[in-house]
Amino acid sequence: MRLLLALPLLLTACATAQVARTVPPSTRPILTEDTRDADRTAVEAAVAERVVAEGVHVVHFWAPWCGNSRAELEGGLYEAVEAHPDVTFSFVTIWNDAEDGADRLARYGIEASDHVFVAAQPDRGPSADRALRRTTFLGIPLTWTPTTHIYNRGGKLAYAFNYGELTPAMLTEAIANARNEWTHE
Amino acid sequence: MSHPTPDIDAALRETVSAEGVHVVHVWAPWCDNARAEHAPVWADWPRLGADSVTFVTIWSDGISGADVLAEDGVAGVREVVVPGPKPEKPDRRLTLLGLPVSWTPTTWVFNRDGLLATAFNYGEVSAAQLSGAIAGARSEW
Repeated sequence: MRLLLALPLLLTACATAQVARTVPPSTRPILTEDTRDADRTAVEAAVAERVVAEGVHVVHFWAPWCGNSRAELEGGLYEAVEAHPDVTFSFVTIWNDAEDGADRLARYGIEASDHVFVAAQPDRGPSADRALRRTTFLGIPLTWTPTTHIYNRGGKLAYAFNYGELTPAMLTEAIANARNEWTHE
Repeated sequence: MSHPTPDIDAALRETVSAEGVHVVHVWAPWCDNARAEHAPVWADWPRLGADSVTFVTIWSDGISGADVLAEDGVAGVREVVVPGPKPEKPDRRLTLLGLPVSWTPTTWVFNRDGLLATAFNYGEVSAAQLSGAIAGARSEW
């Protein structure tokens, strides 16, 4: 059953339906206390709580059935995780019928710990139905897997890599840039 | 929190929804971080390889930053000015195209008929980073 569900997904690229442009998000909420998304899931609430803490926080969205996601994990994402024990990493599966893919993550060297969190973002119904997939996370668009969002400054978005694949070097550079104060004299 | 006028959002939406890869660069003329990007990244903006580049000037009392751009050697780029004063911290954030702006310079790359490909919402971007993001947005993966 699981395989049958995954099959139509495998046959397509890792993008979801392009719903974002038909829903002009001119007033979509951003991550502030006065714009709580009423539709926020428990996973979004948990991540929101995590990323407002001091420091840099990486939220990685992926799907076990997605070749681009697997390629990114095979590229050595675990190295960036291990190299940054003071950064939180939230690995959140999307469009995956609320299964968190922890077993597969472990195969890529990534396991839950004091700074690594593994969760699944549920859709509004079966993930095979693209119309029911969630296409934002904390108000930021989610239209491709893998996607990586980086937060700093008490929960503000620093970087969003919403398309393609990220290398460990790009992720490491983005974490360093998110830490930088960027002061000019 | 302030919101831009809907017509600016609509104009930007139209730009980024066209076929190809489109860059929206949000900046303020008084911002040292924004100006630090001008020479290394934006002076030769056609070389970045995007199908369009739009500078969105914010938090400048609705005054164009064209003089500053000329002074910094950024020529011939399209500029859109968002009205409204420079807000005090911590209220210095706004929403454009549904995306948060909490820092200048902020640079976004769009593809797939208006979907966000990459958002650099903090710090300063390098020409290599931005060119890479634009090339990545063009790839079919």
